[in-house]
Amino acid sequence: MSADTALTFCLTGFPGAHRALATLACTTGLTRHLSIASPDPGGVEIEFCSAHVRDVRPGLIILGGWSSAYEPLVDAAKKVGAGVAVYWTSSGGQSGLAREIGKLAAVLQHRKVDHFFAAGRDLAAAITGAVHLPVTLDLRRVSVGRPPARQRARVSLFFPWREAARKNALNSLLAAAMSRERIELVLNGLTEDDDYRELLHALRVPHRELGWMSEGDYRRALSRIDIGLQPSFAETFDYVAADHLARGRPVIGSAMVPVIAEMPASVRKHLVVRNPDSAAEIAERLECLLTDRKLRIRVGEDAAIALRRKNDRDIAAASEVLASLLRHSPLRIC
Amino acid sequence: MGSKSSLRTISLSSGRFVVRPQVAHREVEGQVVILAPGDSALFTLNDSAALIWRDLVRGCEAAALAKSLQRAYGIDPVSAAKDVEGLLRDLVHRQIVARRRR
Repeated sequence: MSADTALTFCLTGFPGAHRALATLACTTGLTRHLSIASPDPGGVEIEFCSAHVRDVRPGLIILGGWSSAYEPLVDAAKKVGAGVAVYWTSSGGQSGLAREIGKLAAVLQHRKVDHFFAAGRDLAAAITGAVHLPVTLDLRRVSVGRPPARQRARVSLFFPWREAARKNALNSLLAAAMSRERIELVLNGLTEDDDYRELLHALRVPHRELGWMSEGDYRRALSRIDIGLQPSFAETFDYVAADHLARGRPVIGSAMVPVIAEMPASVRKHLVVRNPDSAAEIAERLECLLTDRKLRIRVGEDAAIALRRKNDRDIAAASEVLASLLRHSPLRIC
Repeated sequence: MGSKSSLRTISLSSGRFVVRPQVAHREVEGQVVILAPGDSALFTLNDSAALIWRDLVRGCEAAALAKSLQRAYGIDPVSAAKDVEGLLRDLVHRQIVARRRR
């Protein structure tokens, strides 16, 4: 490890940023990721990480999201002449809905933060000096599979209940109810919320609640899904949609879901709803994929191919961003 | 799988073990914190594992590690050897330590 390498750190409480940075290490080979469970700035983990920065003397440290717990890491980086970057993985809309505005303002005004990386292309374009660092996927062990024909197609609605409003759960449930005779909704946490649990019963939608899943359980669950539903009101990337698409499972999403919206037109026309606030439009897309299994399989497989191509481009772009900064790191110049 | 099955057959109760050079470790506020290669999560050792770790870093053999544990916690030699072997097995599996070649 040296000035031409970057260390990345992320609190595990920021799951999107954590996954993005952990994956970046695998896909680009230019970073080494450390996860931090405790947000205590005086805690053992932060202290270890700060000492590690001083020992390793990287050219750059990248922090996932922002927390005041990172301050000792910033100071340690500055002491060894390393650049400091913050990787912001929420889109503008997502940041607003999650009330992350104060943190965003703190990062943008922070005198010791040299680089602002945004996973969202639009957010990067909107902020002076920001750099778009795309989210990448590690697809080495992911393969496309065809689920067996079933009487009831399994339709996933994967997100924790706290994300239900942003993920447009209500319209998704209303759309599912229109096809309730032919689907089984598969959930991971939505019924923990009393209101949604009641609504599911009221709408008489057959459903299966998987609750919180380990990584292995999640992968197994994905292999048993026929169609995903992610018609979100705001997204930066949408890992869940990407995880489905990578396995050849079509996902109905909104134009706010970049990983779906950036698919080729031939795929997009079957997956993207123009108005996510229209349960009828979501239901219409769902109906098309439910009635035509061959179409469903073809769209899924085409999406998987397109996703791999996009991911290759994103890995190249991310590598270029990192390499250019590391080449120009203060340590390297000295 | 290969490394796991070989771990089952190789005795870890004797010999000398070394910390792999790619491993970052340090004591922070009395706690041993380790960053394993290829792992993003830090982990800390409990008091008894930390005691073994300190001796291991000093270059003690597995038998000496067990004796040290036995003395510190007043446990019987068989239990101490078993505990040390369990920890070494875990550390080898996580690619944190390796058996030193003679």
